[in-house]
Amino acid sequence: MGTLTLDSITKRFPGVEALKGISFVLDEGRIYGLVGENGAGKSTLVKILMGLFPPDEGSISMAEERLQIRDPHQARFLFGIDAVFQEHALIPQMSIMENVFLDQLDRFHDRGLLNYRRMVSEAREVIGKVGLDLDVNLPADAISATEKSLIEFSIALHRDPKFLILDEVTATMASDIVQDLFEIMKELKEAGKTIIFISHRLQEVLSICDEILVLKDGALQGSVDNTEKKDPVAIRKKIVLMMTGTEKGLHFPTRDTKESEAPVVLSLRNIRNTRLRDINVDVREGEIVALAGLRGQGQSMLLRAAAGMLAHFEGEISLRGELKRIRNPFNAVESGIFYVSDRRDDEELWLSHDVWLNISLGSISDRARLGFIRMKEDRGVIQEMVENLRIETPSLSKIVQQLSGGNRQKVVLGKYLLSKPRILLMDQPTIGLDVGAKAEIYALLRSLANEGIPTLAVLTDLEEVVNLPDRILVMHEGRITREFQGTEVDEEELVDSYYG
Amino acid sequence: MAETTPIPRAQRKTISWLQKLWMALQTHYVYVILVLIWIISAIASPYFRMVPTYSNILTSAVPIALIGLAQTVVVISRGFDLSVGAVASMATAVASVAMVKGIIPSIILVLIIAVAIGAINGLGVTKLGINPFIMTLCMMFFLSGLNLLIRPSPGGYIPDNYKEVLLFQVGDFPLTAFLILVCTAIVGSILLQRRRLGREIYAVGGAPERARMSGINVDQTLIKTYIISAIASALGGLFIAARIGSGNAEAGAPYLFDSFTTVFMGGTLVTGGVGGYGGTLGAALIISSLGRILQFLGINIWNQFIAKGALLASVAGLQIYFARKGRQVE
Repeated sequence: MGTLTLDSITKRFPGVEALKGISFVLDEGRIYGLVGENGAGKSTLVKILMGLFPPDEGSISMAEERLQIRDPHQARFLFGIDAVFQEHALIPQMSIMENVFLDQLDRFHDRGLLNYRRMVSEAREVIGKVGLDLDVNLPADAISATEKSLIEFSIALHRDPKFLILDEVTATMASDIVQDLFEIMKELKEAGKTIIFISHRLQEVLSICDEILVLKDGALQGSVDNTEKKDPVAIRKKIVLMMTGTEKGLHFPTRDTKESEAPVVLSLRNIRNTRLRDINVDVREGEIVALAGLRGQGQSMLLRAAAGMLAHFEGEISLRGELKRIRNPFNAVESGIFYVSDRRDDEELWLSHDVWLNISLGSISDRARLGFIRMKEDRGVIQEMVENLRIETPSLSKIVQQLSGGNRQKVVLGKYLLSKPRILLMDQPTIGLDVGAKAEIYALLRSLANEGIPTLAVLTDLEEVVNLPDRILVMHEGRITREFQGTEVDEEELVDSYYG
Repeated sequence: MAETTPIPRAQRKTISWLQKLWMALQTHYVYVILVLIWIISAIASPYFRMVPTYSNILTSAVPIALIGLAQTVVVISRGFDLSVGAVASMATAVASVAMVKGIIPSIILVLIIAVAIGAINGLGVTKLGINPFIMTLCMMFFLSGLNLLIRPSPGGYIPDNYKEVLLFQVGDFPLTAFLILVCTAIVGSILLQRRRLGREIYAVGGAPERARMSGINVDQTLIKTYIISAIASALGGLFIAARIGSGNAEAGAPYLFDSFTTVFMGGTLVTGGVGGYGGTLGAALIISSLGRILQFLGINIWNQFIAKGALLASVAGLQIYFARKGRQVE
């Protein structure tokens, strides 16, 4: 008893296969690490285990018995599986104490009325277990992200689960708090509980987990035993290789040695705000420049600043030597600076509309006369773009939601290319794409760079960082701390530089 | 579990009594407006220094308050209920036909029908995934037709003793109406603030997906919400029947707009999860007073609409002001 078996779990979403036949066995009294890049399928797996949606194929069983997990309530109270979700599950408008007991409020009905006094003391006790001392009457949106994570952790502890999934709980925590958390996790392990620990911070995973499962593009790459917690450097290397892996068929376009004297297209001078510290960046003609480093060191924020999407920042932005005043996205677009979000489906596409509209809408007034769109011309232009970018779609009227990730990204690029961009700012341009699509996007970005549209991109995939850009700028805590020339970068030196 | 070292707090957040007062004022500003309206009217006109005026205001506030409660619960759950007026009309129509046979059975019949209507609304919204606006719009049309079938023209029989009980006055004071308002206030507040179901309605309206992650049965909560809404509307309709002394297939229609006015004026947000019944009740009294004032001033019906619109717009502006202010405090 006490083992949880996943057998070829598969989950498809429109246009993407999120999980491809995942199988593994979780033994009791062990801490498992689950690692993988963004979009590798970790959170999808968590949601399936918690019954938020069913798998398309495969089964989950506990001690030989097959489970049908219908909803989180059942997962928790019938099967003893609990999770702290990466996206906070606290209801922001409600008080901390109500959030703590949200699914068991009827326990507090005294003579038909909720007894808040009792709830206060019990809630204080629950969050006290993780060392928190807060006014539990405060609404959940009045506390810090670390406190939210700790509260959610304490709620899960309170339910005393057999299997506990922690999805990025440490993402916002300082290291001393993480250590406290690890102490609790070790106690749980000794009590025979099983923990799945998901984190982007590999040192944390290596220091606490007994076994590390590596996911890549929805498939389980394998697992690494770490029971002894010895030789972290070697194990780390092994994991990183599995996470990024030299993928079969992944082809990067060749880089020509650039003249360092090529004219500067985009120049950022002394960009600063509360998190960015005096950043200077030049992007030259023909270049792809990467912003690399650990997650959340200000890379995305820098792109958003240059695209006019940040309300407060100081500094100068110039384009081909001409100083631009960029205070909102409209200014940026007018100057030819185009930002492509990493949240493609939410921020770039009208998912429920067709390819035609998605590509056309951004520049539609260019193809209008007296306020009327010339449909024939519009159609011709869009058709041409679809062919140039080799977007695989049976027709222009295909709904974008039904396209694969790679084709969606091409639709996004098509939309902006029609507006004659002078530079592209791309946040993780290949996030969630499969190997073939990644290679196509690389080739596309390279040919755009050669045609005079350089790219400044936030890249996270190590292989991408090493092989795609002409130059790599490593960011750490809001500063650019290192610069590498793309053709002469040493992988280990690069990773070391991430830590400041 | 052993104690872990306490985590150092950068800053302990607590609420001072001044902030509490400020918050209380924000949630109950409708009552400040109400009293101001009464004072100004009393200064302006002797009519507003007489008790019968206020008894009239109380009496006509009853259906607004009940149907306002119906709308409040649904809006907190992040929905709409366009069928509240039609449900109230249904109650008058059914009562005017059935009360010949007996008062209590008729009331029970009306409530049973209301539960069925609410359940259908709730099932349509949850299981079929129909947008609440569309689902309840359909229900409104469906009921409007049904009401006309039951009661093609205004009329029917509402027993005198039924009317006497509901409109009972001590001197000039409408005791029953007052008691109904007090009961509605208590029931509405307890339901939303002191019962599990109410809190789950807030959770579902505040963040539906998170509520699901937290283990709340979202569908069940919403179905119950629509049932409560229909019951409150039907009770409003039963009171309307006593006031007009007959059944009328269209008697409830105007209350649909009043229900939204009271909910939003009372500070319940259209985005769900925020608000409460206290504000709605105050707003119901404002709407009822406004009707009386404008009627007394001899202002035409269309100007009454303009006045309501202007008042709602200014209250909405005030809310945005408060919200901005609140963010600055943080």
